[in-house]
Formats: sequence, C-alpha cells, structure tokens
Amino acid sequence: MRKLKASGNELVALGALDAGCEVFAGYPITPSSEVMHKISVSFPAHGRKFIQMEDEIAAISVALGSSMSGKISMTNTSGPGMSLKAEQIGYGHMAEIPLVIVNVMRGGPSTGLPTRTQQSDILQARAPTNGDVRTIVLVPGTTEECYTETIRAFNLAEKFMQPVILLLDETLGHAARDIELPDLSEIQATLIKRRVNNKSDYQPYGVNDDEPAILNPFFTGQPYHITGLTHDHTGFPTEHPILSQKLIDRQFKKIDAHLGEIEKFKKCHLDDADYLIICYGSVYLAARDAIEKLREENQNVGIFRPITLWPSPEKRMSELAKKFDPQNILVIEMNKGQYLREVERSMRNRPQFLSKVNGRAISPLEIIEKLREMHHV
Amino acid sequence: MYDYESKLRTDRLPTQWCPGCGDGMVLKAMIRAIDANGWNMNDVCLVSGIGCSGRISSYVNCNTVHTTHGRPIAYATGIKFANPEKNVIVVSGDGDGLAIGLSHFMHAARRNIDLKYIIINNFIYGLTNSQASPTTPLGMWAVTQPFGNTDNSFDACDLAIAAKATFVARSTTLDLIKLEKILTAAFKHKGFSFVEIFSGCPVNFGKKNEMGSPKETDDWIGSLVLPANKFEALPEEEKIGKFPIGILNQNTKAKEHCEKYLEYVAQVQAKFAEGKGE
Amino acid sequence: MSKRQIRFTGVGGQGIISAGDILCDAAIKTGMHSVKIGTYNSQVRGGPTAIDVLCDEKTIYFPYAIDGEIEFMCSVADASYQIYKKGVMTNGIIVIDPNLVYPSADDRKSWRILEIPIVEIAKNEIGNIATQSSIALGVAVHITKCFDEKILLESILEKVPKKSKEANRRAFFLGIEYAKKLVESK
Repeated sequence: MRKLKASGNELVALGALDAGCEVFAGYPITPSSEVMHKISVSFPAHGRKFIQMEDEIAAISVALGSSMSGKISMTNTSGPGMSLKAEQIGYGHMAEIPLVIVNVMRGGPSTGLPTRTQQSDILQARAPTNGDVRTIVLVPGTTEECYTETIRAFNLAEKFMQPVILLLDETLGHAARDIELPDLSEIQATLIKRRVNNKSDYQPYGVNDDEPAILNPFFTGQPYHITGLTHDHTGFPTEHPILSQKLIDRQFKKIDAHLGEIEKFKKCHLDDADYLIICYGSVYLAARDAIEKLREENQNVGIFRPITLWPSPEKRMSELAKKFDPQNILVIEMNKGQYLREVERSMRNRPQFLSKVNGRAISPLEIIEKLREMHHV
Repeated sequence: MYDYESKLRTDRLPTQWCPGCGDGMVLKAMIRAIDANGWNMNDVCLVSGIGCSGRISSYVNCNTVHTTHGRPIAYATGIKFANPEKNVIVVSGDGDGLAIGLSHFMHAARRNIDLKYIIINNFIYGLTNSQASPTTPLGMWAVTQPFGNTDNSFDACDLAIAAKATFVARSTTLDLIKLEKILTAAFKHKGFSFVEIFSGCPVNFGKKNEMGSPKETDDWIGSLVLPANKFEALPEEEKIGKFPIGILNQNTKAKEHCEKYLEYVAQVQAKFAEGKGE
Repeated sequence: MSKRQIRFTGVGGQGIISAGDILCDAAIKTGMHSVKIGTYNSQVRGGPTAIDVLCDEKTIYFPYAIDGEIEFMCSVADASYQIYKKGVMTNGIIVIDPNLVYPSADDRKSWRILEIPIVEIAKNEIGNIATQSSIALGVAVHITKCFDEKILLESILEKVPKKSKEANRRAFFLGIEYAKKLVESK
C-alpha cells in the first residue's frame, strides 16, 4: 500500500507513469494542465517521452502517431480541446489505435467556466466524432479512482485497440487529499499488453468479427498501411459494400461482445435502501455525505454510480428500475441531464432530477433538501 | 533497369493518379533517394495527408500512414519522437501542408525534428476538383475563383526559412535527376528537411487554365523557376512571380529535436540522481 | 474530534493557496484525513481565490467546506473576503489584514474579527512578502488549536524554497505571537 497526498490530476499523471505510458503529448488547458505539469517532470526523469505541442489537434495526433508505432501513449485536455480533437478521435477509432485521452471537465459550452466544475462533456464523450463509434468512457468518482481508472483506461485501450476517454470533473481534478494506492508491483501485474501477430500471413485488420485489430509495432519487418478511410482486412481503403459494413459492425461488436470486461459500477447502501440516487464523478462525494447524514435519521438512501459511463450499465439500471419506484429515484448531474436521458432509456421510466450548471458543486445539503422535497423524508 | 519493384507495393499499381500528373515522378525520385541514402525499407515510415499527394503512402512498401487532412506532420512527429532512430518521410500537398496544416509545418521546423517533409505543390486542390489553394497564382482560374484568383499566394520555402527549417529546397517534376539529387540531400540532412516540389496537375489546373496538354502545364511550371543563383541576380521587380530552385538554405549546426530531448533526459536524470529533482 | 473546516482567501498570486496546501499536509501528518480544494476565478493573478481545508478523523467525501460551518477564515483581500465571508459560522473567527480588508459593523457583530496586518508584517518585519502564508499559518494554528505547531512548521519547511526556510520559520512564530497578543487582549 502506498500512502500519499495528491489531487486527481496528479494521480492521473502517476497512473500514466505506473501504467507504462511511454509517450505523452499535450497542450495547456484549464483545468487539466496539472496532468501535463506533473508529466513534464516525471516522464523525462523516467526516460519517457514528453512533448508540448502547438495545439490540441497536434497533441492528439502526436499521441496517435506514437501509439500506432507501438508505444503506449496519452494526451490530456478539457472540453474545448475535446471539440478540437474530434476528428483525430475518429481516426483513432477507425484505424483502431489505442490511446488514453484525459478530459478534465469544466463549465461549458464554448470557453464557458474554465476554472469551475461541471460534468459538461458526457454526451460529447459518447459521440466525440463524426460517424458511428462505440466509445469507452471512464468516470472516476473518488480521488483514488483517478489513479485506478487511469490504469484501467490504458488496459482497455490496449485491449480493445481504440481511444479510451477518462473524464474527471474539475472538483476531482483539483481536490487534493490523503489516499492509499495499491503497490506498483500489484498494478504492474494487472497491465494488459497489446496483441502482436508474428505469423507470415499477418493482416492488421484480418481478425474475427468480434475482435480488435492487431497493429504490430512499426519497423518489425511486417509493413502495413494505416488509413482513416474505410478499409479491408489488409488496411488498404475499400468502398466494397460488404467490407464497409463489416468493418463498422466489427468495431461495434468488439465492444458489445465484451461488455462484461468493460462495465464497472459501484453500489453504496443499496441493499436496504428505500430511495435510490444515480450519479457519477464528484457528485458521488456530495451524495455520499448526504446519505450518511440521512442514515443517522434512519432514512435509507442508496447510491448506484457507473464508473464506466459509456457503454452504459443499461441492464443494471433496468434491474434497479424493478426495485425502485421512479418517484424514489433521483438522478443528480452537473449538467442539464446528459446522462438522465440514458437512465430514462435504460429504466423506461422518468426518475427525479437534480442539476446545476453554474460551475459550483452540488452540496450534500442541496441533495438532502431535494430528497425531502420529493418525499418529505 | 532500376529496381523500383522491391520498394513498391506492386499489387497496388497502377497508381490512381491522372495521366500527366507529377506525383508519380515524386514517387520515383523519392524511392531512389531512399536507396541513395542506403536506408532499409524496414527502417522507413512514410506518412501522408489528404489530397492526391496523400495517395503516395499506399504505394510504398514500408510502414505507411495515410492520416487526416493537414495533420501528417503531427502524426509523423509522434512516430519519429517515439522511434528516433528510424527515418520518417512526410508528403503533403499545397492544400494539406500550407492551408489546413500550416501550423504543424511551422512548428516542426521550429523544433527541428528530423522529418523529411515534401510538399507537392500543384497550385490547386486537385482531388476535390479545382478549388483555389494557398499557392494558386493571382488571376488564375479555380472553381472557387471563377473570375480569376484574387488571393495572394504563399511561397512555401520562404515560410520554411522564416520558421528556421534547417534544410530548405525547391525542385520540380520536370527534371527527375535533379529532383532525386535534392531529395537525396534532404534525406541525408539531420533535422527538419523541407522540399517543395512544383508539380503539374494537367487535369484540374492546367486544362482549366487554358493549358491544353500536360506538356503545356509542365512548360508553365518551367517558366516559373530558375536556379537560385540566377534568381538572386535578377532585379527585384523581375523576381515577382518567379521561384528559385535548388537548395535554398541549410544549417547543419542546429541540434535535432529528438537528440536534444535525449540530452535533456540525461540532464534531468542526473539532477534526480543528485537529489536536486523535484 | 468532528470535522474541522478552515478557509484562506486572497487574490490570485498572494500565496494563500500554499497556506491551505501546507495545512492539509500537516493535518495528514497528524494522522487525520484531510482534503484541500481551491476555488479560482479564471484570471490567474488578481482574481478572488479561496482555499478550503477540511480535516476529520473519519473519511471525508465532499471536499468543499459547507457554507455556515467554517470555524476559521483568514483573508488578505477585500474582494475575496466579501465573496467568501458568508461561509463562516456565526461567531466564527475571521482573521483579516486591516490594511486590505474592510469588514462592516454588521460583520463585526456576526463574527469574531481579529485584525493582524499580515502583509505589512511580512514586508517590514520579515523582509519577504512571500512569507505571508507562514504568518497566516502561525495565526491559524494558535487560534484553531487544530494542529500540532511542530508538525505544521515541519510541513511549512518542506514546502518553501531552501533559501527562505529561515524567513518562513520566523514568520510562522511571529504569526503565533501576534495571535497570542490579540487573543489575550480581547
């Protein structure tokens, strides 16, 4: 066990180092810059590569370039930067290039509230680019999880050969506290290595219909072609109707056939709960304080919080819908209901909703008040 | 007979370029320049952007990357930075490299990262049917400037020199031997090497500007250029609309980015070893 | 001990952030759980800034101080004082720099307002304006009794630059002295 004091942003940087990330390319943006600040020290100190690029697009392009060549890579940003990176995220999906993209969310839209907290980019993370992509989006709910989910983001990226988006909100990014992390050796034992195919008939995209591509490291004697155009099993462009359909079908199936390996959520005090809160990210911290307080008054409220936000834990939420009346379910988000719609879709009902988009955190008291207003609890 | 075939993906041939297009000349000269430098194809990565020039990556038998529009230099920076001992060539067109991707070009030059950067300048957006590019000369027809181009054009080599590119040259597809020599020198240079190649687009530029044949388009290109020393000797007013060819600038003293970074890593690690790190 | 909630406020660039950071370090060293979080304006310098430090023996979830529950606030800029004062509990203590912060008569009824010219002391008595956070910490430790003096000083010395360690040590003890005098005179 390692004991230390750190903020979420600092833990993302540490997670990257511990996950064996080899190349980091970034561009300054509030409130995620501390990730890059830390890495600008730790990466050269460990012989890893760090580069600050001229813009958001260049930063993700460098990270994709180094990753496709075989090196574990990462970039950081916040909402406006995600908008700029959009096209390259699509390239990462199309060409099946692993990459961890950290987005520390601030108030939006546009320049919005740069130093304030909001869960503004939930829908952007689900569909960050043109075309059909099945994104993997992880949302830590505690400071420790900023570390553990960074590790998991690298593992999922390398395993499923596509970008993985790690979403922090400003609160988690900046709040620093005492934490305990698993030992490095323990983390290293869990790291997933990218698949390699050394057979003479190797074709990067010649895989089963539920498998990710296999991109052998560059310069190892099996040259191949990478493109953002629709391509066949060889990697060369095609517009063949069957092959075009198959490519996108496979890129969806490689995720949908392995949801169990991607899904992650936490339940808190759910077993005896009369009321259910659904939330994620730092909102969980306020909700947790709120329900602990209510418990002292013998009011039993539980929390369900997805950590893998996309693909959403649809089945789990539909199971919960059977246990709780929609009047007793409260969805809380620091946005105008970006995940609420997904909860409604999964639960096939209309739960209650508490929201704030002024850059300030929702406090435990506001949650308690909302529950009281709902139920006179 | 020179053996191109071992370096090409012959199953991808013939190329998709139009008859009379200069891109095939660049492909040939580039292959010969790789060879002249004694590079093993297994140590080469060719990165291209979007446009007719972007197709070049699919024909060469090495690790090849066809990136997004304007970003090949940024992707290539990642590939080179991660694999400093390998040779990374980037090919753009005038739209890819001087419009949407100009910023990356300037910054790669500033960093002096060892990329071999070729812009095939055909003065037009060819692939998308004749929109004006940053190099379309004043007064010439483009589908988006149907009454004659009103926008001033860039001199790509001037830009590269201003950004402190450590190797800057211009050539054309009119003389394959000269082109091969220039590319050979560019590939040999350690640092950011830039070569602008004037190349004819007879179908989407020449024909629509009243040049009836590929030969006429090439002749027009020939009328624009003259050797650097002759260009310098011209009176200022006669330099307008003319372009020097040959090696225009070379600085062999500036340190290359990846080498500099490795030195930096050694310094940082030494600091930490002395306990003077963070 | 129940949850302690402390706030430092100033304008960006005054070093108040580091005071909160150091207090959080010290609390953790003492064996408590602690969290600190800053609230900034998007201007880097000159914007009103607050940093909240929470300490508790139990796990802390929500990282912000709760409005009306802050027991101690230290403020060295009026703009931020006016924004953040409402977080302090009734009869809570607010230490202000009287040259820079201007509380109303009503404020003085709501809270115990103590005046220590922190910036002037840093400038004139220590000769290093950057030591104001150490003075503020000296004041805070004496008034809140939340922290072990020795551990807090240790945490200060770990964070400040080598060449100003001695100045910060003096600043810390000077803060304690001023706080003592004020508390005794009241």
